[in-house]
Amino acid sequence: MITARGGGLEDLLGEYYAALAAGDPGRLPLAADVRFTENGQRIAIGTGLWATATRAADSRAAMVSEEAYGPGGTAGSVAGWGMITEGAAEDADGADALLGVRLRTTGKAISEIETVVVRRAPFGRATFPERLLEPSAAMARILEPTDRGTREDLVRAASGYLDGVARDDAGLIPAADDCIRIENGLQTVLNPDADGFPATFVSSGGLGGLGLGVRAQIRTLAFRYIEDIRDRRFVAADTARGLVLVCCFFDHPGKVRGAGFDSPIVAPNSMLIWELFKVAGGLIRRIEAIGAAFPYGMRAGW
Amino acid sequence: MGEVSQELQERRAYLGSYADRYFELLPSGGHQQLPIAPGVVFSENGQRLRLGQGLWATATGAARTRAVTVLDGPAGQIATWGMVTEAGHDAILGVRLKVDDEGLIDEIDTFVVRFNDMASTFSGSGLLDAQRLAGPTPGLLDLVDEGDRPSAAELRRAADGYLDGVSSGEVGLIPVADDCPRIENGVQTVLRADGLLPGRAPNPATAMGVAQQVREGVTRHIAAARDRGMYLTDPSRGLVMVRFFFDHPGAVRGWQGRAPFIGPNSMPAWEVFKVRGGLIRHIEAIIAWFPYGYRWTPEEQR
Repeated sequence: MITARGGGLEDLLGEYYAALAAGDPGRLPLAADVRFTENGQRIAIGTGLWATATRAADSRAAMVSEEAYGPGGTAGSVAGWGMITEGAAEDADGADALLGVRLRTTGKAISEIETVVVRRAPFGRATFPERLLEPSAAMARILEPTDRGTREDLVRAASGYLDGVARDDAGLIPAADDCIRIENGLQTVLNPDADGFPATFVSSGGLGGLGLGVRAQIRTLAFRYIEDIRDRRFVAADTARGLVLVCCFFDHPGKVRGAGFDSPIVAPNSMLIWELFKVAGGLIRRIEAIGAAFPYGMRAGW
Repeated sequence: MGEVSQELQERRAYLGSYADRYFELLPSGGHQQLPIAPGVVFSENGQRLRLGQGLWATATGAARTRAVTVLDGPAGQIATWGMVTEAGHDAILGVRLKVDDEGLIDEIDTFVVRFNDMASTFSGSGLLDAQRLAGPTPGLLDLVDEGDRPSAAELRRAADGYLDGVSSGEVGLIPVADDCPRIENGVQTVLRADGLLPGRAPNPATAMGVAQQVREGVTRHIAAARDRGMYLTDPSRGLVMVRFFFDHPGAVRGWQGRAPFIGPNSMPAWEVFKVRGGLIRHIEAIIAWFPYGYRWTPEEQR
């Protein structure tokens, strides 16, 4: 995929954010039948966030892209997330939001646009973490050839994580002990000082212990309130960087009567989660994710 | 007072008893004790779920009496809403039941309005007067004198006239009495002598009547009242119910009016109108905050 400015897929993602801030989808090479969703809803291009966004950060916090060559030409996928502003950018009426964008290209045109807009700052914070304004250098790093796996290896590792979280089985998760996880910009493992979290979240015992690692948290059974991780789509993988992105729903039935565990989530919801895994030497080394809660049972529209 | 036929009265009685039973059984999760037809279709907040999921699994209490009920005998349907609790948190539950020719419930649509709900696109605390919704709304179920009684078609026209007028700004479309109260989630949002909503800053618009609010542009942020359906009519009581979505595009670029929402949202609503002598005399609604473009059914969502 070569963009209008001669760049690749990752430049195309940057062009999307710039066009969005300008409210001008006409700048983008859209296929005539392009399909667009925002937070799981099929709406017309130009509506939704297209009508309210006034600013986009200079760079994305995380990104992954993949190209495949087939009989129909080149198909590309690129996805990432970064900060945007809705409403008047210069006055108090504006509001920041975290925007995830997934583009699929067919030939030279964008044929699919999937977006998720996270409008609430995470974990009860008043603002989004600064980290989301900067690209994640750890995710972008190229792996040594000996540490790389195939696309299938990456998908298997990510699936193991999702299975382990959904079934409370740490043994299914091929994660390194020092694996970091960042969710909506906050580090939710190996963070004993609860950096970035409001006191209210920490005192509620959130996530079974922020100081623990990925697998150790699962062993505390603190994730039993996650009923299922469904509708998993592995939308892009980059074997050179060991990256694979899965879009999925975490189903939370809420505080179910008679359940043998407590749920930090009162009412049923389904969280649309985009989770990016970095896998090296067969182990997950880093996880960065974004997500927002929606009505229980909602589908992604894909 | 007008007379209602014996057959309709009987049908009213058992539809009413099914709705009573629904709320009685909810806190114990005993949905199996309802007279359910094989293949019953159940939805909560627009998502098709298995009966027993969603609020059926989390409800801890339900009021014995409900605020609003519309019984459409010829259609074999009842719609009603009242207060419930979910792990001690107040919520409003709207239920529509349809019974088949054998008197079994074959369709259940539910609408749960939760407050401070993670799955809501509204991050503040929504307006709610739980006390007001704890019992039947005075006068709503009074029979309308024959001479003032609207036909089912006139009832639908009145409801549509209101929705057309509010979403287009054309006050002439709304057949409403000057003293018509409108109660949303238990809170009166027009003709307030105090000129403010509970817990909010003073807002002169709340002192206006329904028509005046539209005339003064208070409702200009509403782009559409779409996907109207589930009309239930009860001419003997002058009642009509409709469900729909208010689309709020948010603080769109170039917008000069008041935009109560920065980001876009779609508000699902169930709204009941009492019509007498050709005019809307009372409006009751329950309303939530969902992603922009949300639909009521999975078929629509594709």
